[in-house]
Amino acid sequence: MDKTLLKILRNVEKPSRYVGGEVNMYAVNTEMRVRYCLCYPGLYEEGMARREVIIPYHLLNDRKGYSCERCFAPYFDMAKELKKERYPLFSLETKTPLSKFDILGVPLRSELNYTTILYMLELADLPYESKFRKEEFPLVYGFGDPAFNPEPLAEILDFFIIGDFEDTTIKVIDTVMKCKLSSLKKPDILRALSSVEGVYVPSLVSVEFDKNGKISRLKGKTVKRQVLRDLDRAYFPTKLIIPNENIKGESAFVEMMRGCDQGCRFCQEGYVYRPMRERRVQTLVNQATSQLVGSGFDHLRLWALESRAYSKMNNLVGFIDPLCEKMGATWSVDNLRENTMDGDAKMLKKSETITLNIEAGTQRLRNIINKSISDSDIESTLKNAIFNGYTSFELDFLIGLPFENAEDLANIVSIAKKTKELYATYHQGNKPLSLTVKTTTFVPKPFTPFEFCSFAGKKEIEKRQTFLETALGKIDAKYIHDDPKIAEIEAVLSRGDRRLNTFIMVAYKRGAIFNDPKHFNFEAYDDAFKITGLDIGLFTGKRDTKEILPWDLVDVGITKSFFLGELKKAMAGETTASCLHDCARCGLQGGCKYGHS
Amino acid sequence: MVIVEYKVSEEGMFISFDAMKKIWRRLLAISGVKVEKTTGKNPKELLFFAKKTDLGVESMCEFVAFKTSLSGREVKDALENNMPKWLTLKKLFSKNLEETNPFEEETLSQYKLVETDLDEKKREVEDFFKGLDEQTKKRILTHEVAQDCVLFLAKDENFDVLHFVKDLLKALDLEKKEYRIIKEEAYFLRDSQVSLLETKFRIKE
Repeated sequence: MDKTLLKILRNVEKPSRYVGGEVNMYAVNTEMRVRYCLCYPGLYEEGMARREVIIPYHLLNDRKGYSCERCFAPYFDMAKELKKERYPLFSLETKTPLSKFDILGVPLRSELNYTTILYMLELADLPYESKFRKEEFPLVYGFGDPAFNPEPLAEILDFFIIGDFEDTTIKVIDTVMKCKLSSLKKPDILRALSSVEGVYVPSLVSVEFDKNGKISRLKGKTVKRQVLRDLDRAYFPTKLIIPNENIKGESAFVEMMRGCDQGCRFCQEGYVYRPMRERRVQTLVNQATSQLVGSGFDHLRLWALESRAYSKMNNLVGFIDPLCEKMGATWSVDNLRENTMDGDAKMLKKSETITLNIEAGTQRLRNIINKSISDSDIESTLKNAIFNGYTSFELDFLIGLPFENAEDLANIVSIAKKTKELYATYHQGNKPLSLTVKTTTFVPKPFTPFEFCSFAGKKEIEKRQTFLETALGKIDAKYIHDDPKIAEIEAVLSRGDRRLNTFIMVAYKRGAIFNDPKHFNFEAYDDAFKITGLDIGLFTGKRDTKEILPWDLVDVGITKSFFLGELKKAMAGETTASCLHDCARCGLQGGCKYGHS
Repeated sequence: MVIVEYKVSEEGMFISFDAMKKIWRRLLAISGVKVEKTTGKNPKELLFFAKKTDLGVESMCEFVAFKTSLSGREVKDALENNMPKWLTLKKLFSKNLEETNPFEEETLSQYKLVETDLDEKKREVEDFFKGLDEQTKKRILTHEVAQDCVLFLAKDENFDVLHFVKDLLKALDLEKKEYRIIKEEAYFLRDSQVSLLETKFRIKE
């Protein structure tokens, strides 16, 4: 470690975020032809728990001939020191400045992280815009859920990987290596990358707008989402890094399946990761064992987008429970739909609070959003949980959903009241009930049936939150909610187009960096709207179903007519059954063992 | 009870005490060293740590103790393949302690002088230690010029750190440089093979 870095580290609050050298960290070969660094636009302690960082990092380093380093967004104190000492942002493994790498991969966790990417580029002495980063600079690309609409970052990032990134990342590195050997210029490298399946190169896409600010022409190659067909054989890390910071929720984890069968109409992940693919029980048990042994975790998480849909759950639990007991570890299941909770509640036994993702207050609205949970499901789940000794409950809802009305909100309060009544009737003992109602603001996302719907608006959401706060306060239920101002920015960025590149750059310049409520800078975004003259309504408003959408050149495999059909069904209050029971004919071509396509 | 004396350098000196505890716990787990637990309703691991030194300072010796069925030698062999490069095992020894925290026995004062760049004067530092009188030499168990500080281990708490540091600064021709002394607490092992007071200092330019 050089002296300037030592000096910098001595002046920051949490230096361990920036030093690397963790237990189980890979020794990186700096002589690789293509040097690759993952740049997570968030803090170390946040990124080190994210699958989007863990999987590609281990995937590349475990593979012969490839290497991967890491870099996380530094906190303000570190950024100040780096600027003061003119010390460019560097990788944790070898302390190499980011500008010396060939490829920087940016895991896009949320649209709200976009300004943090600029923050990292600036600290790395890299130009913000792709066109100003010539051959001597690294290629910068994004992957992850927000990449399904790449256009808001079209002028900032050089390219995007759409869909499952595992195989495509390798192909991208191979392509860049070949191009470097042939000493190709950046435009030629990007052209070569555009021929890799699943790679979207925005500089090869042209967009025109009409006088109303709508897209009139979108020209370019359609990019197909990449799908890992055989998830069971797909790479999964077995020996994780032990971070230098204590990280909330740090644990071993296995991914039971990808995709979801439910078709909740508000959920982008539920559509863009179709079809549902599972790992075998034996594979999961082997992965869990390796991670527990190789990384010394004392907790294991069984992860899936919708864990109840994992078809061999009882079989898996039969292996995992004794395995964890033998190793002195606990285990839990993520994203469990408690509406089908059975009597023994074995899967829930490790958590203290039971969280019910009810999403909407009335059956009418739950039908509209295609959330297959009934009032009687809610009641029986609550009863079962109370019988099983639970005293702490969290009821989660979305507000601002399309077609939501006053009755839907009033019923949220009724469900909370019902919970209290059931607890008073069935709880055995003296422990008081801990009841929390949590609401999250609905943001319409691309590739969902609600992609055409408008964002409710921050003032309207504030009004609904005030109603709930008052009504729930009267029955002594705790109420927590998100900030609708943040949701509004997310709504803008989620369905935006390439005009937002300037907006993002201005917002960053005005001080928007981190995206959590503590650091979120509303004024910066307000200023960005004023300076760029963009109309917020263009992005948050209702979209015409015939309109050209910014993400129309991305093909996730599900047809637009299916989404439109689902929207019509939503308006009629009709539901669509789980893929496991009846194929909805979403248009997915091949690889779906449940359907007809 | 196995007591491990270890040294932290490079990246390790920037890791917080809480994170270091987690890392040790996990290191023992991945090395197959099973730490025994207390008996009773809520069993707790018999794993104890002596207080870590300040962030950003290399250490010469820190301690962790835990109850295990393995011997010190077996623990050393198990740990060696998994040690990060910033963590060095110095000594492992077994103590006949049941469920007692060995680091709660006694606390001594520790002084350090803050600043950097002594490694450029490595030679002069070595000469200074070589030239100490026999009396002082007996009291200094060991010394080391780390990346940016000089570490030394003094045998007893009555050792006059201030006086000693002044002599060292004089020998290094750093008399006129500004520096400050920070007092802090350090633990030492009473009945172990070495009873130490660890003192470190860096000199401010």
